Amino acid sequence: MKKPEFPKVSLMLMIIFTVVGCILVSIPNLPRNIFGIDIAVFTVGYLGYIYLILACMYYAKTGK
Amino acid sequence: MNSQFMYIVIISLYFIAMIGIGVFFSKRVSDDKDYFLAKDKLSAPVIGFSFSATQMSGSTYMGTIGTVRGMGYSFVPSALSSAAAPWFCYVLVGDRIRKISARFKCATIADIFEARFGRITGIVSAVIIIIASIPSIAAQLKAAGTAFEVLIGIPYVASLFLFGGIVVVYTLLGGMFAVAWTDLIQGILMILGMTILLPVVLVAAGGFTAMHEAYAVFNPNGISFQGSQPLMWIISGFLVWGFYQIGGQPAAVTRFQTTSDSGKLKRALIYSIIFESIIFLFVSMIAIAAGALIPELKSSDMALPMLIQTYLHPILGGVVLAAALGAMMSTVDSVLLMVSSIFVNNIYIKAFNNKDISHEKVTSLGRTITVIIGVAGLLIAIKPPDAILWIITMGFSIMAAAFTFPLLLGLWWSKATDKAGLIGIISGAVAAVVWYVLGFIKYHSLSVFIGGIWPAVFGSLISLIVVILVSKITEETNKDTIALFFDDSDEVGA
Repeated sequence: MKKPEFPKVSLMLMIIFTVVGCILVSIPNLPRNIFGIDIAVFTVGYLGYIYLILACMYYAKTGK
Repeated sequence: MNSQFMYIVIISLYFIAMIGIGVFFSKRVSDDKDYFLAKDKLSAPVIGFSFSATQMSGSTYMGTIGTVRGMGYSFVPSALSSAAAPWFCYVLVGDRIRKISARFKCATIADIFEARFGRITGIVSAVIIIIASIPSIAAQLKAAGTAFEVLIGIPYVASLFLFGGIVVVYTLLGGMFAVAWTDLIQGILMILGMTILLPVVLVAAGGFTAMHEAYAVFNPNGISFQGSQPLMWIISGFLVWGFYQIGGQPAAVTRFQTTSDSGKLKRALIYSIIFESIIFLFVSMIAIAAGALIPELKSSDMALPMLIQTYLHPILGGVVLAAALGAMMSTVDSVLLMVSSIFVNNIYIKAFNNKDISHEKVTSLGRTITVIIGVAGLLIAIKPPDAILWIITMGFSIMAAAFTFPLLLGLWWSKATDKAGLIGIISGAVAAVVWYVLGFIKYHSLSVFIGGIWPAVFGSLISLIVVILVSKITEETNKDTIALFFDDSDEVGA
């Protein structure tokens, strides 16, 4: 019997996404020096989408 | 020609196209498998767009713009998390559901629970899904009726029956074919609508940086994450809207049952994630621009209509409005089809032991139930009673709390027992309701929670603990079932 293989790399990427996201959301009073917003807002609100797309592409290509 | 007339023309063309899709695909429905699942007959883009269009409701389009405009960046982690939902769902349960559905001939998510945790769990999950989902049909219909009335001037009840009637007709004609293909068209329309509106409002706001500077004047607390909401509320939103779609959106997760091809499902994920990322990113930016451009607004829900009326040519405005209606339609049609599928397959056939029924009769019964549920949704939406409004608010959280961990553990952990699955589902649902009630007693609101912890988070954690603990003390599931469920070799699979 072949056991189903859990996609461990994707799980790690999800944990990183969640933990880093929660940390960035929790940092108070950052200076607003990127397009009128702070670095945490820019990272979560804009760069976060690029991370998501790349992570999905990785899973679609490798299944891991 | 005035704007309202152009909106009516564009939306009428859109409605005719939706009915046309229903009529076209009605010829391809030959049996109940075609009607409920269109098994192995949908392409990757159709599956991908259909998953995401189902998951994103009308509130994504109209409501999120209003919410982000009011709360600012406090709500943006929730938007990013919502866009991440396909990633969590496809990766953590998608491929397993695909394989198990092919092996056990499962047509619904309740069938998966039955295959893994036994007949009673299948019936309990079916009942929870039906109770939590029908009010959501009414909620979407109500939102569409209100949007029609405000934007086009057609009376509410007439709008309701026009919109609801069209959804019911194309769903009952073409089943999953029509639902999935209209979802694809609606998804493309949603992207088109946002792609038209975003550059227009960005230019009007003076550019990206100027938009933020103007928004900071309008809402100083909303220009960073913290300020307009408690930290735990923001973190809960970030956790809930992505991961908890696994259990909270059975209508979307059903798309994993439409194919037995692993490669196709992985390609569908790419379409889903790009679609949702574009929508949530653009919606957030448009909402911030709305705060900068229209600081005076009586109701936040009017932000999108006001932007359309102020900044877009009526033809383009009509396209954006059609896209907003598409977002509502794509949720209603999928929930409608899922509920009728569960009602026929899990309640009528399995719970009431009508297993000798012919495929033709199942299809015909499915269509009848689709009409009955659609009409019930319409009647509820005319004047929703208070109790229904409660269930609408709680529906997603109850399903997320009840199903997320029992489904995940059932699919990946062979030691989860039948009793643990059943008790885990019930305890999660009950805990979510209790958390709502406690929040209501303390704050007199269904959207403010004790400690800022959302009911889906609280209920699902209870469910997780219960599944693990009960699995340790109850009898193991039948070894043959486990062997079949957890054998991943291809010859057993498809």
